[in-house]
Amino acid sequence: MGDAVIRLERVSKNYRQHQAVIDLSLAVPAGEIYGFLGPNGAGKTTTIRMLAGALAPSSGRIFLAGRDLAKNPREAKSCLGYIPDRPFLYEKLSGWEFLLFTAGLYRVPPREAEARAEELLNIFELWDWREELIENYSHGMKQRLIMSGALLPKPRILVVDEPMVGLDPRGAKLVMDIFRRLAQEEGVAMFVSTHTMSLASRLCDRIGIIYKGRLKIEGTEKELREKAGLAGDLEELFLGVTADEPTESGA
Amino acid sequence: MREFLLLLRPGLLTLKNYLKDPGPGGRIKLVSLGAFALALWVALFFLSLKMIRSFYSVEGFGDILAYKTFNILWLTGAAFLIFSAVITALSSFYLAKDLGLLMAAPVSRESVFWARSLQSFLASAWMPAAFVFPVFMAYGWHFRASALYYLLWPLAALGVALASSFVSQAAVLLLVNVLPARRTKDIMSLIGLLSFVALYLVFRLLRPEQLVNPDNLQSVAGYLASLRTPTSPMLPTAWATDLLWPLLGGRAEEFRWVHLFLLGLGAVILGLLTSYGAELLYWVGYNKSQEGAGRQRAGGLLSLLAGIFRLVKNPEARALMVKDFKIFFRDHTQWSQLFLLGALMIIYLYNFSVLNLKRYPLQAFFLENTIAFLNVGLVGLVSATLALRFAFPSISAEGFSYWIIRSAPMATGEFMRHKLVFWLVPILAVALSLTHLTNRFLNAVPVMSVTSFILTLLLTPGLCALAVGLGARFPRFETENLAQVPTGYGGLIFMVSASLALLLIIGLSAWPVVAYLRIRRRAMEWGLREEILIPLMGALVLTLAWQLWRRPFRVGRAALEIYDEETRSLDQKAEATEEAA
Repeated sequence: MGDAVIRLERVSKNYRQHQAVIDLSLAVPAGEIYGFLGPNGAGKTTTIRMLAGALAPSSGRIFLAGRDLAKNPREAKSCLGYIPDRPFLYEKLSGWEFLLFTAGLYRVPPREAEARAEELLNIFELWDWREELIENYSHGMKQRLIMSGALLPKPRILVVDEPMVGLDPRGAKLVMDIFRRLAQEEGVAMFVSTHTMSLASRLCDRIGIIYKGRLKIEGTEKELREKAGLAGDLEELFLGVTADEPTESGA
Repeated sequence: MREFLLLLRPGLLTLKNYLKDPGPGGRIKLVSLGAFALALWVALFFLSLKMIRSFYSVEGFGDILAYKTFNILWLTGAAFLIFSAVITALSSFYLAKDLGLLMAAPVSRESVFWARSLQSFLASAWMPAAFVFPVFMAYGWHFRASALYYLLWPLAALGVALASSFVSQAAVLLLVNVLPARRTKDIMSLIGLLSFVALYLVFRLLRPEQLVNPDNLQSVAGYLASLRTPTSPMLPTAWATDLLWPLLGGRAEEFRWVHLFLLGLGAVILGLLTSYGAELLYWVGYNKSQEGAGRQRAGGLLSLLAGIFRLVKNPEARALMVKDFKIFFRDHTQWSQLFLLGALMIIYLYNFSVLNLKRYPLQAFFLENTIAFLNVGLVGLVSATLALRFAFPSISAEGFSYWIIRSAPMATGEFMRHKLVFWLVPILAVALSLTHLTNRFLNAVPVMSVTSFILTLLLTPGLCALAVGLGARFPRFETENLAQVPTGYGGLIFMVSASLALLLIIGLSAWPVVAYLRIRRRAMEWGLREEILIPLMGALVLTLAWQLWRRPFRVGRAALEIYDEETRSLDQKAEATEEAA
């Protein structure tokens, strides 16, 4: 896939004796939402953290918008927005201050940063809370603030780990609509890891299933059914592909 | 009872698992910390022995001084325990993250309270006990006490510690029903710190050195005579003193078992009162503590002050500095340390202002300038302390939010450099101000003033870089209280390295300085030896300062870049911390 915005080439990650990710290659073009599924301990979070530049691969290469993440980390990461599953933030900053801090890290000019921050806080329904310290936010509000921060520098790539954790149905719908609009209208390439099959089915254009560190299968839902020779919905497909062993913890 | 023991299991198992597998480099850390603690005990033991002997060098007052110090030791230990037990009890009873899980479990609240009570007692008692232990042992050694003294001391200590701990726990039960739990913790921490600072300032400004001045002996004698009055007999600390003191120095006929009985009875009564208080107040207070601490909002003044960082042109550096500035002044555990810094500076300058070297007219020039030079080492120690308190924990201050930095388009080295600059500027300002003011107090000659300025300018950046470098080498992102970061293994390594660097640089600079002073005093000519050795020593000092600036920083950067490799991942650590808490 020549015009891929996210490209992983034979990426592996070892933790001492344990191989968390083995020889993983995949590509995501602009405007596509790629769902990354797998049981606990399959290597999803490790892959996500490598993509976000928070963890170096043991071997292989990662390209973000054509830039090698290992050789040009600054340029590669400047195109990326990362949304982790746990909303760890600076509790003693206000929501507004956090967004301006993020803008500084991504070198967004101050005026543009303020306009973007206002827009995003309104979109994510946090405007009335902008002066409150983050320590007073609920889990869902923190998650929405992280999303605002990730979107503030207008990234070409969005890497998302469990997007709906802690969000109420209204928040979840809001996020799903935003993700779709970003992909379709702004051509953002999205890499989404999730356990929620219904979400993957509704949101993602293509899906990859990782199991024991290896990418077992990928394609559209229809292609997955054909390749696996299984019928039924995505949940049944997932259970079929990862059937041979019970789940474990830790990635 | 079964429930109580079950509730203690997570803590015990965590300890067991840590001892079984302390993680990468953990065993070395354990052994070196153990060795450090042992060395501290030995030092405290011999210092105390020296102190007791010095009491007896003052004829007629030795016994009174030794007795009063013995009693004060119990009182200080108990006071320290009461304060720290308030903090640990607040955390254990109301703020611990696993309380929600325990309160929802089918266990009685009584069991939860008592399990937490024991944990809080152990967490607050070990440190004062560890500090006073060698001093009491020194008393026993000096007076050649019988085995009974060594047997009864742990029982007396347990009685005093239990009584103090119960007092704190009862106070906490009451306080949380009046104030929010989190606010109470903030207030108590602040009161504790301010009391310490006030005590420190009052003690120093009273000029205790005047006690050894023969001119003042008359008034001292009168004061000591007034100390013969008995202490309050109703305090457990007095019972502990009265129990053990007769066993020191052949006063066995004054020994009474009743004091041990009183200690036990006191602890039991206070325990029963706490139990009654817990029955009435614990559940009510717990519910209240879940209702929030009152919101803190982003303030206008702090944002206004943060405007100074507009002078920083690099947008990433500016963003990081504004963030660190605001977080520092919104976190009471961080900004309250400025009181300590203020007290340290006042005392430091005060010591020099009362230093009267004119009493030795013949040596005044040599003494004043030598002290001005040695002062560089002392200023270095102050800088090292500041760097340890503020620059060293600055990396760990990112906490679990460190993922934001890692995924941002900023190299690890840049991130560390911004942290270094943020702390270097104020620490350097303090160091140079101290050097300037002390030189003025000492009437140092211009050459010596310039030399001490240059040495301070060389040393301070090196010490700050060492602090940030080692802070990155030994990060503790999972810590809840940033003020505890400098007390860990990395902090110990920093202080040892900083002291060695200071010794080396001051040692190398000493010869040229002394040579200069000698030549100047005797109006001699410069010899060939001076012309060769002075530039050589200067070059060595420069090289050392340069290495201090570069090397530890590089080591820290490399370690931080591979941080995830060692710990599997910060996310997992976060998960583990949440579960363990």
